[in-house]
Amino acid sequence: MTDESVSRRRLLAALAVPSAAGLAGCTDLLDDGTAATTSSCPPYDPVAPSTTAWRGHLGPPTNTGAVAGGAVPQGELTFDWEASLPTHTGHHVPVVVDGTVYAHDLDDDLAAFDAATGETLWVTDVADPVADPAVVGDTLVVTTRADVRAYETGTGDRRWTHDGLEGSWSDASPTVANDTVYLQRGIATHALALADGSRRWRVPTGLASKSTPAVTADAVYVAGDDTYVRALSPADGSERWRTKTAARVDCNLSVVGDTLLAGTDAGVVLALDAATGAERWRHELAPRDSDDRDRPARPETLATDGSRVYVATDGYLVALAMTDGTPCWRARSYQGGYASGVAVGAGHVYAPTGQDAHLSVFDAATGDRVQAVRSEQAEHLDIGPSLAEGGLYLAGRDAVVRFS
Amino acid sequence: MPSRRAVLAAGGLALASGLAGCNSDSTPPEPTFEAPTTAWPTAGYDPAGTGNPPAGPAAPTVAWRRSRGSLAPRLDGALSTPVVAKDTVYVAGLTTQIFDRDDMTSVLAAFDTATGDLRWQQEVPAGLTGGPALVGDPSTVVVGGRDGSLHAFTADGTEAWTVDLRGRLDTATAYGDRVYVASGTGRLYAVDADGSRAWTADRAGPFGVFAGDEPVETALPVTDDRGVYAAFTPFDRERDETVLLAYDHAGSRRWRTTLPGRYGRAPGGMALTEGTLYVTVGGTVYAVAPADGTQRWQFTTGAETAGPPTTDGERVYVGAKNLYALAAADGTERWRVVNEAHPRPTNGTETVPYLARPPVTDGQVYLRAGAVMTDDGSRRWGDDADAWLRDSNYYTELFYRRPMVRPAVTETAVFLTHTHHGVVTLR
Repeated sequence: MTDESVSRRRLLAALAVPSAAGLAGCTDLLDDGTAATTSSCPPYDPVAPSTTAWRGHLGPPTNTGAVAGGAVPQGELTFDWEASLPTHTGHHVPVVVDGTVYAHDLDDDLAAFDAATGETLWVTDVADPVADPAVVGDTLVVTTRADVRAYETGTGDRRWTHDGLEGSWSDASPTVANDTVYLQRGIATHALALADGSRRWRVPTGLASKSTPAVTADAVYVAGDDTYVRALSPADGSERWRTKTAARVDCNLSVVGDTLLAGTDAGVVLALDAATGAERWRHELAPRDSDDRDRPARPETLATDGSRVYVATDGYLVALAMTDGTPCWRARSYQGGYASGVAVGAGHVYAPTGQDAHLSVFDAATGDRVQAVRSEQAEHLDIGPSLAEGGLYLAGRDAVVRFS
Repeated sequence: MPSRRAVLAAGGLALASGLAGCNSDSTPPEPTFEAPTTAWPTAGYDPAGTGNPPAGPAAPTVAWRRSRGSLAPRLDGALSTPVVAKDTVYVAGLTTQIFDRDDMTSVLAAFDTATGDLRWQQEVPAGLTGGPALVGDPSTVVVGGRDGSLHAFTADGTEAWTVDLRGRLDTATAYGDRVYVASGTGRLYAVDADGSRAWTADRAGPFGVFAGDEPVETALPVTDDRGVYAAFTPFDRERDETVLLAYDHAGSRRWRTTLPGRYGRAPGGMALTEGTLYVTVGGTVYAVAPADGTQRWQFTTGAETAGPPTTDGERVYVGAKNLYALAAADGTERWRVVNEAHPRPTNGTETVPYLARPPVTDGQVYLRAGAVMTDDGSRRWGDDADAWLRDSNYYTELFYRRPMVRPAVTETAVFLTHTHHGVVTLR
């Protein structure tokens, strides 16, 4: 990218929507910012995570999309830098660990940038990378159309390649935890040793999955076209429990405390006991439009701060009470791209919005929009966001961008 | 009635088109099915389509094979489920147009069960869309024509009669001296074993009777002493649901319900027990009450296609992408046989979904050229008979919505139609 393009796509961070956008047809559920919350919604009482990095698709391997308050930019967001990552294919959510941002272009380049300056630290060739990479320690795991591979974070040198696990553009991202890479490929869940890429186990369902696994020290949670949510042993893949749903699960799983969250393609958000799989509550997502009652919104991303469950759908973003699934607020301005997500920290929810801004910052308790970020150009920076170490990261056409 | 039947039977090839549109006052048929151990007379084994004969062999080995090309003309097309009576196995090559776009001709072939020798073959120039069913005593073999003609042949291959119905005819189910057959026009026909039409049930869509002859997808009807059940899916992208209909044997509709197809839409088939009617729609299995169509449970496999279910009363067995055993009582999955095929058809895929109706008997579920145990799904004998596919570069998309292998089982033998190997008998 040249300087010209930087100026062409000058980015603005602006204060927006100082007042409520209106109640938009809802009697109880509040849309896009009012100061009040739904009366039946329990108080906002988030669990502060300790993680400050953004290690994979939705941050930590639990896929909460939540980071410590100290990792969140303070005050109004301002544009820091733009790092060129030209592509004809697309982007993924930037991954940020220990002052370095990792990104590939879904085409042929994998790069590391200095989080403070945006300076390119290294670039290496990689054929047809897919999905979001994941980082643990000094190992960066990247999946491609042909294989799974690990790179040295400091140098971009390749450590190992595991052949035979072919990926596609729409595949789930790998989750790295317990010195293991967990991923959905083909008709199975695979576990590879982080150290050398050797296979630890493989659990086939016979069907595909686009759902990124959520992993703790105790369980690997998986779901997919199979229509089950399952808890597997991290060590050997043996099944701890399974819970049947009525539809495919494309959306990521997310686990916080003793609750596992899942969203089915039938528009149902499920909260399950993470230890047993027993259902705690379910929420049926409202249709995208009031005139399209037969088609519930499809969940695309689940994130949680332990007090609310943030469900990004193909029509809106809704915050549900963690305790019972009560909807607390909804943002119809949400508009995700092919690899958008939700990031949560310090009482704020960061999500891509389509109407008048690339990204909006919502008050997690009320749903008020407290800030909007937009560029002068129509080109959307709609991939991301990720939140780490004091910065907010987005990707869009040909670049990775940081605000703080 | 008896005299008219006698006249028609004596006439050999009799066209019954003059009866179109009228429901005669024919006597309901008497159930005559006596659970043979040496026959598999219709695609679903019995009138109820349970696929559950009294006995089947353990660990049989290949006795004979007849390739498609060993017949002249060839046994091309999608091979039907074999049906078996006494010492003959019947197979039809259903029209696909894959082999020759301009030639619809289908072959119905009869082989000696012991030797595989060809007893006879008949050509149907307009093509067949319904596989064989055996009805009556002595039995005639009835096949459904692509042009709406239902053809009957005697055991020696002589044409017995043809009745002109409408639309693309599916495989018939036999109940006593009658066959029930569904048509691509959305109609269900009751035809007696002498070729006389007993009644016609008009097409009935989700919102009543559709206009015109918009084609619908059909399934093998199932039947018992209460009546007959049919499933149709209109080719309408806006409505992914199957219409399930119940009639008594006189042709009066008892009830109608619709079942949504979560992933996929085609009716896969049915199996009927005293207490429950099992139906697959797309990749979902439903249990409904035979009395009124009330839904009891559903099981979504997640696949887009599932084949006809079978049941031994305790479990329901369904071949979708994988093979599933579900608790008959509540639809809970008991076990599955994972199919390693790629989830979606792609070139170079080495394996394909199961889909076929899985016969069940003697504690075994028959799957491809083998069997697994009914209690836990573990392998009893045999294999998936797909070595040829894994060793080749066939373009498998053509097979993805049709079973590669369709088995039928008698006490001593397993009869297979196999996409690649033709007709195979294991004994």
